[in-house]
Amino acid sequence: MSDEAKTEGAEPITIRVRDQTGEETFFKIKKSTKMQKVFDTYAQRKGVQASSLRFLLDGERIEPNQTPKMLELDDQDQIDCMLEQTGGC
Amino acid sequence: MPAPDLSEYEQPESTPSATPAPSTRPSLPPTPAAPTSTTNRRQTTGLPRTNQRSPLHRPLLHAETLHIQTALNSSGDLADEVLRFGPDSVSRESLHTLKPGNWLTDEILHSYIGRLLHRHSLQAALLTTYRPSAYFKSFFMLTLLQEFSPDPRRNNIYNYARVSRWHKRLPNEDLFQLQHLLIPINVNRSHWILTVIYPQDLRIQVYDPYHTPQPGYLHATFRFVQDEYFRLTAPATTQPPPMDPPTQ
Repeated sequence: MSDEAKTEGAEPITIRVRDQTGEETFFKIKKSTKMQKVFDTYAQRKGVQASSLRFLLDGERIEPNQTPKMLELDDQDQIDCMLEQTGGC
Repeated sequence: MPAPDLSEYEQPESTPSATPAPSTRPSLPPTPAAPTSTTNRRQTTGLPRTNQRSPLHRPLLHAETLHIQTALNSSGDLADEVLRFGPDSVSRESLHTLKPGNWLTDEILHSYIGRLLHRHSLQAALLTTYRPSAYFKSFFMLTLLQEFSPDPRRNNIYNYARVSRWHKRLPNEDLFQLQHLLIPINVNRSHWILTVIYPQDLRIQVYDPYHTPQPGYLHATFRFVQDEYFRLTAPATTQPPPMDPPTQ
């Protein structure tokens, strides 16, 4: 048990990022790594500003300094990535 | 049609306002001794109606105007988080859309709705009939309908499974215990409308300043309410029968 506790956070998990077209991108990330890293890598890969993306877990926005551990994300869990929305009245 | 329940927000706040302006609130004039004119007929408390307005419905102080101007014109990284209210953050880029002539971003809407609901909870919590209200992020409808699917056959098709975990963000994880569930919707990437589910009244209402019929969104919302009901009333998963039934 103590070994498990020690390695928790170091063991990478795979997170699936689903965009609004339904396309999925996979990320391997340690449970203790901030989600900011996923956001930045994803934005870079897609060629968009990270600030124009919204990452959601079960409908709530994920904050950049949260970690998979804080979000209770498990291996193969999915998060959503949406493009910023703008509109007038 | 009854007035939207959001009119509750017109009530004065019971908690101290964040803006220090007690001296500018209209002081109560002496109660009219003998209301004679017909304008007083609708008054039940004896106070002139103008004094029942929220302290938020007042002209801004000079200091507040300056504060807002400074924030709107602030320079720096557009991605910087400049406002936070609960789970809702607003970037400088979004804040700048509050300037005249700009389209508002989802961050502005969510932050504003979050504040409205917070204020509502402070005011209504004392009522015996109080029920919490909540809102979904404006990405709810496009997720539910997969609005941007590149495959036209899968585009705009209702799929409850894609939002079947959103209830986890609701108080008690139960839509039907809420007073309101607000769902802002971005239409055609250019227009904001608001759908409100009133679970206690079994009513769904779409608020659109253009009064454009939105049967698709209304219907999808209705189906979502149904599917939430089915989820909540579904029988608990039964134990599988024993693999090794006793034999004679």
